[in-house]
Amino acid sequence: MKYYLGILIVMIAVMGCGKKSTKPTPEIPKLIMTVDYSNIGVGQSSILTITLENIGDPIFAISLQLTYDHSILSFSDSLDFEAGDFLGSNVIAFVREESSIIHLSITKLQGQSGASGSGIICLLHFNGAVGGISDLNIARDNLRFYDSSGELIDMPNLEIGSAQIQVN
Amino acid sequence: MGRATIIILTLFLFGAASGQQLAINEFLSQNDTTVADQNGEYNDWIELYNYGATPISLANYHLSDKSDNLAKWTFPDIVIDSGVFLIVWADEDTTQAGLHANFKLSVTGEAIYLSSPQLNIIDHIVFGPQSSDISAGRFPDGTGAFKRMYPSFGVPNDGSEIIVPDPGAEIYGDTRVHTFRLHFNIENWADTLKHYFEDLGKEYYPVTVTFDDTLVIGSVGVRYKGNSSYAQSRNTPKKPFKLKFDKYQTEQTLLGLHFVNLHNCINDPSFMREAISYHIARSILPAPRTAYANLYVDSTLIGFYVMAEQVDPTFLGGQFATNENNLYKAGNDGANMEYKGSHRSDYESDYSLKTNENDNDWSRFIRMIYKLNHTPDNVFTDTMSLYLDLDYCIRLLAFNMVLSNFDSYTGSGRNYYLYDDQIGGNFKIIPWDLNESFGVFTNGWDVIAQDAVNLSNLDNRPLANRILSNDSLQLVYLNYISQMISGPASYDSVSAMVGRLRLVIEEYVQADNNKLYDYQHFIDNIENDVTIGMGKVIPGMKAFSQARNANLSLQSTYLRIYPGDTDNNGVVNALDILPIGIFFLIEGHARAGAKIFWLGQRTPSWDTPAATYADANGDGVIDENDIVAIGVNWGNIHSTTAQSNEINPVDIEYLRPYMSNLQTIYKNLSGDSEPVKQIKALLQTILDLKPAVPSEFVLSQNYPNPFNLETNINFSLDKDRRISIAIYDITGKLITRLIANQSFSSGSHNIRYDASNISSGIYFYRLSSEEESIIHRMVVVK
Repeated sequence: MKYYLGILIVMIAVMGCGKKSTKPTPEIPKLIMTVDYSNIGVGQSSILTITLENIGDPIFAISLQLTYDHSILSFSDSLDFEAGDFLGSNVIAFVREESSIIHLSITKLQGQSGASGSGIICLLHFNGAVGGISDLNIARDNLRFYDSSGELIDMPNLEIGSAQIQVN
Repeated sequence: MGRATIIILTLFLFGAASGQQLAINEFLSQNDTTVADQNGEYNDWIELYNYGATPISLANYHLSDKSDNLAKWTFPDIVIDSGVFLIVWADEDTTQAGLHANFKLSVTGEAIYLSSPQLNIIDHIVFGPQSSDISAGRFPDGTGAFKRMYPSFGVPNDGSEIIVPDPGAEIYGDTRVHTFRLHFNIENWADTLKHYFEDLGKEYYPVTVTFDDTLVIGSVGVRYKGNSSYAQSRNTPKKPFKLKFDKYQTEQTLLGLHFVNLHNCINDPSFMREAISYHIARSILPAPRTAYANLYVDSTLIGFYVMAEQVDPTFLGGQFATNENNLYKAGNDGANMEYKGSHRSDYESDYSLKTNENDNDWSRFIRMIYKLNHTPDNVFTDTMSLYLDLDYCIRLLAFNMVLSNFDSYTGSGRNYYLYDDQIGGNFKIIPWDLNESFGVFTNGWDVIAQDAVNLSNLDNRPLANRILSNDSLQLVYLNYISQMISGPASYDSVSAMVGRLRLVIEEYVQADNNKLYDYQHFIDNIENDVTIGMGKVIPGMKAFSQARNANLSLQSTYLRIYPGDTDNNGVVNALDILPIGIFFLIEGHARAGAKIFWLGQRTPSWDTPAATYADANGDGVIDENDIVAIGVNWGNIHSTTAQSNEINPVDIEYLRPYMSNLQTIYKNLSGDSEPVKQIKALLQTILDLKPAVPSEFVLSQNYPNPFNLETNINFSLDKDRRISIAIYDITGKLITRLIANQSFSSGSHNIRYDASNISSGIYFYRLSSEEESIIHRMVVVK
């Protein structure tokens, strides 16, 4: 009996030693775009929420260009913009619409800490103008993240989502 | 190696007292045994001398070792009588009785300033490295030039100057040409040297040397030398040589020199690169001297060589207060000064220790490298000065940039020494191997147009990176470049040196049948680029100098952008939104290597210089992305000597054309932050600002004036009026009526006048109403 117990202990020890430690794999950072209503009528509104998830390096500022179809959806100016909780509202935000492109820059202020983890960058309010389908996209080339010293943060594995609003 | 050494005494200015016959007469910066103060301490001292006829009150006079803090130490209310010598101890011990300044003197050299109560400099001296118990004093007292001397504490100087033994003095000199004859005891000496060099680890072979056909020295070690210079000339008779005079006979030297290097001018058809480059380097740095030499084996001429002074204890003794400390040489594979760990073995492949090999103590070196790589930015300059002489490093980087000497730390990461100058308190950098200066070694860069600051390899050059990413140090660096291209490395200076050397060496070059390039290459390369083997282009000495200096001069006109300070008024604040509005969506060239962190970044001006500053992120377009730089740098300040472009927010006339842009910014700006509130308030003020109803009948000066085609005429009415505006020539003849008895409401008005149909000259414009009229003059220039 002692003999078998010894074997069992050795086997458990060997199995224990052989077991690799499981290190959590860093989750892939994502930029997610969701709309509260994907089907709206002319004159009705839909809110696009742009969210970041699984951000490692603290982000201090973001600039991006969002494309949509301004013949289908209308977006005017900063009144259609709400800062999210990711960078907070104590920011300088600039949002400008130009021919189906929304130029957006949001920056925290010197002395503040960058943001990491997950959270909402901003909410953008669109109104249905005429019937049709508008895609909402952010091209990787037009998306920049900065750290607190203004250095660009490279995020090559960032998954960028998209959204769509149909106006009936 | 115990030789006490006195080194270069660099006295830039012997100040004549301006009105006051008071002078810094003598100083001692390393007092070990001469005179002690009342506490028995051997401290540095400064001697003043009143060489005038009347007493001088020193109350509130100052002594300092810093030009930017002349009032560092203030004299008490004392008087120095005529003909009296007054001692001030420089010992940082102001609690002692007597005169004790709150600074010490650096044995490696610094400055002393004597200033009046109004901070006018009465006398000052900038001095180089000093030696223990050797002072520097004026002779005649008060007015003469400084000489190295045995201290004469508080008494007149006797004028006897200490002559420092200089082992190289009889050998080196830019235009000296020597003769070395090697006498081997074997026939196949060339193969033997090759075997000793390649197979036996650069081993020496014994030889007898005759110097200048007069001095015969036996048992001298000789070997080939070099890395790429040897490899590239391996199959030619003219390889580089090294002579070691004490290899077999301890204490044997050539007139005090232990080594002689004979360089074969590989990649330098002009034969001048090393001589001229070291000459320029010596104007700002400790650097080897050169001479020329014909090298013979018995009576056979091997070739005409450049002699470059060995960086060894003999050299160090001539440059620093002691030559006894560690000397490191950067390895041929590059030594970028990156911290690689705390063990000697982490660095031995990159550097070689050239002195004190038996002790083999690398601890101070490793600590210096660690500090270079890990000291926080905000204390970098002060901290590093304890470990590394940043000023020397900056000078070397500037030198490398001016001469496009990129086979150096700047480019390849090699060809330099680091000497642990413990008396001076930190490591000193020394240049080496300059045969590929003047743009021969390109490092893949444009040797004429390479930007002095934006270097592609900075991530791998911590020394250069930390200097160039520090605003203050970068400015010092750029100033050194400016000084060099207008001084020792100016085109005129280089041309003069080239001419002088040619007169001396041309006959020797012509007679050198083993030279690596032909005589025509030599002649051509003095002026212009030549192409040697493998299509390699060697820049002409004068052509390079002219083009490189012109480019660096142009670079000196670059604007210095602090991202976010878009009006360059020295602070990032709400006003910085205005240039973004004014130049919104205007495009220009992008800023090379642009960053938006708080660092002055150089860039050529756009057509509109003010717009250059507004492109805060440097991407070549002024838009919302530039606002990020305002947020990142909000509240940051900098000092600038460049023009401020701050816009007066109540200058409604100036802002009027940009109202639409400002409106766009106003309505698109969002956020609850203080900057947004301030910017919105500012824009609200501007956008709501209406010209007040004027209280007077006013005709403003036209603008622009003088003008070519069109000009603006502004006028204001205190009430509704019927008015006329007419243009007259200088004889009073009516040219045209712009407004003829028309009704205008009270307020400000603007009309434009098209002068395309009149010729150059002086004209008048007249505003008139029923009650009054005003006339102004305008000038048309075509």
